[in-house]
Amino acid sequence: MNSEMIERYVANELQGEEKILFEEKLKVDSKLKAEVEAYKAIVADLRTVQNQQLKERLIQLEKKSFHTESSTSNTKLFFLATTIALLSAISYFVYNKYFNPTPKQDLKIEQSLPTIQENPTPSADPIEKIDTSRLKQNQKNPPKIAIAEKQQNKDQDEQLYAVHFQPYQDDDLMSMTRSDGEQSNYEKFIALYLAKDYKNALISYNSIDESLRDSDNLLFLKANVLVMLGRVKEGRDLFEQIISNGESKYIEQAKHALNNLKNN
Amino acid sequence: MEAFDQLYSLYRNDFIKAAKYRFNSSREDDIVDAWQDAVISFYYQIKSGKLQSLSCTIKSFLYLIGFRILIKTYNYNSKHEPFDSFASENENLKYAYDMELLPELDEKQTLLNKKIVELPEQSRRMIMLRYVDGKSIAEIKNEMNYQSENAISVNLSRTLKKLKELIEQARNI
Repeated sequence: MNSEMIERYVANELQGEEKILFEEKLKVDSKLKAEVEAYKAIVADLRTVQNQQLKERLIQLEKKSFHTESSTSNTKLFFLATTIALLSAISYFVYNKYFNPTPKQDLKIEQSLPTIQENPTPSADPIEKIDTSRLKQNQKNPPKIAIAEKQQNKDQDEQLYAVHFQPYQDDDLMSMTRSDGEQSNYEKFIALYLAKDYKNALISYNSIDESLRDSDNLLFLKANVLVMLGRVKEGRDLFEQIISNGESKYIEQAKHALNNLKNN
Repeated sequence: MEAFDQLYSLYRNDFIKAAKYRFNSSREDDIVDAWQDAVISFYYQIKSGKLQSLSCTIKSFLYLIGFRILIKTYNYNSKHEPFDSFASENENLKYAYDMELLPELDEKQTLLNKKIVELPEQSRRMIMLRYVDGKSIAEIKNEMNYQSENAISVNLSRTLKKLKELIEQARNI
């Protein structure tokens, strides 16, 4: 049996009569059978081995790009900080010695502030002029790409807050759902909240009687629902409102939730 | 593979920051390890054709896999219930939540992993293309710029034989 035929069989490429003949040979040739089985075992494990090789590649990348980078950037930062400190000290000395005849005790805070001219004299250096105008323009109208990227990052972050936010749960809430008769909208809302069906919980919340709906305790649960539905900003605003009102029994929990969202 | 490296580096620092906050008892080594596995899993899903499009951001998808790995590592299941409730709202995130994570290497695979690096780079690449990516001899010939299909076929047979011998030798020691 030639080795290319064995390879094709292992690669599952033999078909029809070729395959039948090969498998008949396998039945009678135990040495061939053992060889094929050994190859098949190797091939079956190659996927996992490839994953491991990718892992080793990333470990190398990690060592090369991140560990070295941190030590290099620390060194760079140190030199940068030292340079800035030195330049500041020299500038201060030169300024005081040659350009600032006013005695220190007569200095007013306003005098030390730089004045900004409405129409500054054009700079002799065209590069400086271009850079300045670009800078000002960017301040007024940031590039659209930058805004879009910022917005996209914000959206992604909001999505992530919702993924990892832990909504408030306690035993008291369980007791609010106990009812012998038909459930009120309020009870439905609590039950849906506990069942983590936040979409329907919000629908149910909107059906609750207004007098109840605006209570800060219920608004606290609504804020949790909003965050879980990815409406993080609305949820965050509501937590802030509850804390500022100071009426809810969940103020500490609202602070905790807000803190979690801010820390993200 | 450049894109693979870039993807790893792009969100690596953000992931570490987020995971440190989320799993405040975690060591950075574990987080980096989880991030590596997440990127490899994602790569595998794309390469195998199991994942063909994304309706969420790549960042969210990768984060979810990475956090799943950390949850598994630290057995945090009960604390992270909201995880599945959110995942159920997005098809891709649900997929990331349910998909199979990278298996650990068993003894046999560890040995194969050690021995495979003893092969020439060309042979290694060839058997990966053939048996992992499922490419035909003709496709490998084009991809690796070989002159004849026969050369590929011979090389593959020899590589399999060599690997078998290396493994047997290691077992007999």
